[in-house]
Amino acid sequence: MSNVVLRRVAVALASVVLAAGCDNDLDPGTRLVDFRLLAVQADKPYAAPGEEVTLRTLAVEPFGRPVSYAWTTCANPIDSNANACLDTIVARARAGVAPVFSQGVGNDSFTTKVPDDALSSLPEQARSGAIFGILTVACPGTIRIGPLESAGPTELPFGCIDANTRAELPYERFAVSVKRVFVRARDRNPTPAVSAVLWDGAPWPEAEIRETVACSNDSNKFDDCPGGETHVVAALPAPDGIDSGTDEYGKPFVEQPVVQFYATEGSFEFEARTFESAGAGTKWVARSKAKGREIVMWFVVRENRGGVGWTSRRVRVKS
Amino acid sequence: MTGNPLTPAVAAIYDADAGAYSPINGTPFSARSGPFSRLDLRVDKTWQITQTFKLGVHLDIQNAYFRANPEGRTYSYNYAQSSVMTGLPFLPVLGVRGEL
Repeated sequence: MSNVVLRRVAVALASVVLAAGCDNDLDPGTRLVDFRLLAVQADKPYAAPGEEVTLRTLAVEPFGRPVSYAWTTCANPIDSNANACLDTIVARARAGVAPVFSQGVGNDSFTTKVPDDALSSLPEQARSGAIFGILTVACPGTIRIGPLESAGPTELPFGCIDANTRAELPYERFAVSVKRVFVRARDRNPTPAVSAVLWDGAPWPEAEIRETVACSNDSNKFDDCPGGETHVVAALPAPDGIDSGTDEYGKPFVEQPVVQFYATEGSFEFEARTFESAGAGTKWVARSKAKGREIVMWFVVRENRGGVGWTSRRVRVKS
Repeated sequence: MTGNPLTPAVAAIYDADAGAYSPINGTPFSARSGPFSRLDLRVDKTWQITQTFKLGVHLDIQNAYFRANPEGRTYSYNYAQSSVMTGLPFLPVLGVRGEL
């Protein structure tokens, strides 16, 4: 067998082996084709007992349905996992302490107070992990709550009736979210911001709508998009919002922001970038479905101490 | 053989700090992967070259009938979609062995 044939056989075999287990075509989380809750921002990611915290949401509803919100809280849930806040609310409901929900259509902001005993009710050695959780239900229609006291550990005790069809939506078409506010006596953490957005390396002001050409198919894979224009988009976290130092318990910290990318159509090469790689951004291409449409891109910056900020830009896709 | 037991994700909560979903698992081991079957073949031949040296050649074929065997499950970002991860599709290995 010639070297060329051997090489071809080797490449073919390697491709077959590497392809094993990688043949899925699941929808990427960056594409916003239905109602999505992308972020919940606390004006004070770190707050003291008794302090007021205001939360606001970033939600995307492409069909124009009115969005309802229900908000409640869980002080010091049983652990720091997102699910633990819900478990704590359900456990308290079973114990006869029904949670109070603040509900309403368009109620996308919520102000609450950190309980006065959020630190003092914990043993001294547990206070550095004190959390005040905020549970948000966001639904493009009417929210159904509970019954919480009989909810099992394998169910989501909330529902959402679609505002248009009046049908009950599956869980992935509305959102149940948990946001943590870290309870500290003195530590504070300002929310981060996006200082600049770049389109192919050039500044991209919020008012400017960029133009692009879509590819000829609707594949979920970024690399499988023939004929489309690929653009590099980047969002730069504001450097002055990245804190470092020593917290009130003497533990050193350095904030590590991450930028996440979302768009109402198209495919990103990367879903997120770290602060160090934020300038390099990610490539993005519009799929065939985007032809003739105006696409909204969202850039969400999150850091590992609860801070979150965002901005958006628009792209027009030629027909 | 029957597939491995697995615990399916039945819903998910959005962790607004991580920007990622956290699954709510169903009843433990309440589902199974699909059945698993595989045929492996091996042909082995040894020659006595000299009094002190033997040379063996073998061809080992794993998953001879190219079955896409389920080995696990991968979920979409919000656990609403899932797809089966499959094992090695077909792996021929040609080997040479010298024995003194």
